Amino acid sequence: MTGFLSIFNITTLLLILGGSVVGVIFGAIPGLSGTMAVALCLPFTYAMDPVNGISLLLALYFGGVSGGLIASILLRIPGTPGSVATLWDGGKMAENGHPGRALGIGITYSFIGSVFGILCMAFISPQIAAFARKFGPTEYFAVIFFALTLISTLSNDDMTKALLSGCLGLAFATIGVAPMDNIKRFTFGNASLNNGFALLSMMIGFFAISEVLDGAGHTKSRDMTRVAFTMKGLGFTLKEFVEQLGNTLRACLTGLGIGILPGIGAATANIVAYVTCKSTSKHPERFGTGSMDGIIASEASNNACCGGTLIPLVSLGIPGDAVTAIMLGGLMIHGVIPGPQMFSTHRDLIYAMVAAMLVASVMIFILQTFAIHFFVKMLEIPQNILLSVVACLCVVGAYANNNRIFDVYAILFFGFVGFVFRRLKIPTAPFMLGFILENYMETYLRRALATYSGDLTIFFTRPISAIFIIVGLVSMSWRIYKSLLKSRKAA
Amino acid sequence: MQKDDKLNLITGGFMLLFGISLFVLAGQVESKHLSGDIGSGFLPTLISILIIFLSIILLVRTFWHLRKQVVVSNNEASTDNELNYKAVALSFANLVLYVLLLKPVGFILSSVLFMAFQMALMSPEKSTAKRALIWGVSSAVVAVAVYFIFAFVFSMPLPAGLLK
Repeated sequence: MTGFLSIFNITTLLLILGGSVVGVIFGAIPGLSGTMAVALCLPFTYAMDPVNGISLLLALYFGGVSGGLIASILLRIPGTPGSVATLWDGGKMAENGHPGRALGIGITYSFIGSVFGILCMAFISPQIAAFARKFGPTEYFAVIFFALTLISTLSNDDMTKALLSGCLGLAFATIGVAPMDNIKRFTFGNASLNNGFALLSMMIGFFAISEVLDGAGHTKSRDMTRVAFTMKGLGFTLKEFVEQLGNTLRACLTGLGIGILPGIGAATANIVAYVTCKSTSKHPERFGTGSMDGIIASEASNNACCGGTLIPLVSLGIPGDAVTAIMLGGLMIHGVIPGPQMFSTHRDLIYAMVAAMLVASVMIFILQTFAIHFFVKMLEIPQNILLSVVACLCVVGAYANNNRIFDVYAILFFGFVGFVFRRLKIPTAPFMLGFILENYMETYLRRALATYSGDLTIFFTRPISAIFIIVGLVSMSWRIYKSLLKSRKAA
Repeated sequence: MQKDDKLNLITGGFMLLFGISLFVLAGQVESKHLSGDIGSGFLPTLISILIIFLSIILLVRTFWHLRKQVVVSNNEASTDNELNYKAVALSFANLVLYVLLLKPVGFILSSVLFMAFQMALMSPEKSTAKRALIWGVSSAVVAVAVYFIFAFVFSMPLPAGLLK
C-alpha cells in the first residue's frame, strides 16, 4: 500500500500529467511516436528518484499509445504503428461524418484496455509469466504463423490480392541481415539496408506520404467543409457498450497475450486483435465500414498490450517491446534489476508503477475527452496546410528515428508504393501484417529447427504449437474456400 | 474492359515480374549450412513461389472474366474521382527535392520551401499574395518551432545546413 500511495504527491503527479500530455502529442503526430518520446525523455529521469523517473516514462508510454488514434481518425494517417487498425474503422467513421463519435469510442476503449492490462499486470503477473515460460521458439513461431493466416480475414473483396499484398509485405521484410546466420539479403551492397527498412519509415511512407500524394491529386474534392459536431456523452450508448462487451474482452485478451510475448508489441497487437475480432464476430461485415467494433478491437488491444509488455519485464526481466527495453535501461540506472526477485526486493516500486499507470490512464482519458471538440476543430484547418505540415513532421520523425537520411528516402519509397497500392486497389492491411511479422516468424522458425536438428514434426508434437498451427491452417483454408464459393456465385 | 479488370491485369503482371525477380535473387543468397537450419534463401524463395502462383491465379481469373464479360452500359458511373496526376508528380518531386536539400541547405530553409510550395500545390483555390503570405508565414513558424524544440528541448539537432 505504501508503494501505491507513494505517487500521490505534487511532483510525481505533475510528472505524470506532463508525461501524459507529451506522450499524447508524440503519439498523435504521424512521424513521432511514444517510443521516441520515452527515448528522448529518458536522460531527464537520471537525476530523479526511481518512482518519479519510472512514473514519467510510463505516462509517456501510455500517452504515446493512446495518442495514435487522433491522427488515425482525423487525418486517416496512423499516429503510431499501434493505431494502424484504428484507421480502418475510426478513419472511416470520421469520413462518414462522425469524427467526434469515433474519437469518443477510441478514447474510452483505450482507457478500458489500459486498465485491463494494468490490473492483469498487478494481480497475475507471476502466473502469466509462468505460463509464458512454457513458450519456446516452436510456440512463438506457431503463434506468429497463426497471426499470419489471419491475412485471409483482411480480404473483404479480393482474397487473391489480399494474399499477394501479404506476400509482398513478407518479401520486403526479408531485406537486410538474415536472422541466425547474419547473411545479407537483397542489400545490393548498400550498408544502410543491412538492418532492413524501419517499421516507422514503412508506416509513415505507406500511410502518411501516400495520403499527401493522394491529397495533392484530389485538391478539388477535398475542399474543407465544416463538420457538424454534435455528440452526446462519449459518442455511444449504454446499450452499445453492453453489446460490445464480448468484442472488448476478445480485444483486451489478444492485446494482453501479444504483449506478454517478448519483442512483439502494440504494432502487431492492434492488427492481430482487429483480424481476430473480425473473424470471431457475429457481424464481420461491419468491420471496415466505420463501425464501433473495429475501433474497439484496435484501441482496446493496443492499450491492453502496454500492461502486457510490462509483465515479462517485471516478472522475468525481459522487455516486452522496444519501449519496455528502454525502461529496463531506466530501471537499471536507478539500481533496480527487473526480474522474479523484483517482487521481493522492490515490491513498493511495482505498486508505485501500477498506481502511476492507473493515474496516467485516467489523466489521458480526461484530457483527451475534454479535447475532443478541439481535435474535431482541427479538421477545419485547410487540408493543404495540414497535410503539408504533416509531411514535414513525417520527414522529421523518420530522420530523428535513427538520425540518418536513408530513413527519409525510405518513407518516399514506401509513399510511392502506398500510392500505387491505392490506385491498384490492393489492400494495405495484409502488407503491414506481413511486413511486421516476417522477421519474428523466420527467427523463431529457424531457432526452433536449429534447436531440434531440423525436425519439422516438433511443430505438431508440442501441444500449444500444434493447436495454433492447425487452427490457423484450417481457418485460412475455410476462408479461402468460402471466398471461392462467393466468387463462383457472383460469376 | 472494366476498370477493375485493367487494375488486376497491371497488378498481376507486376507481381509476376516481381515474383520471378525475387525467385532469381533468392537463389543467389548465400547459405552457411548450419545444422538443422533451412538457410537464409529458403523463406524468400518460398515467398517468391507464392507470389508467382497468386499472380498467375489473378491473371487467369481476370482473363477469364474478360472473356465472359457482358458489355457494360456507358451509364455506369465511375466511383473514383478524377486524379490530377500532374499534381501528384509535382508533389512527389517536391518531396524528393526536400529530402535532397535537407542536409546541404538545412532543415529550416528546406522545410519552409517545401511546405510553402506544397501548400500552394494542394490549395483548391488560386494563389493570391495574401494566401502566399499565410503559407509562407505558417511554414516558417512550423519549421522554426520544430527545429528549436528538437535542438534545445530534446538535444537532437536537425541539419543546420546554410544557417550553421
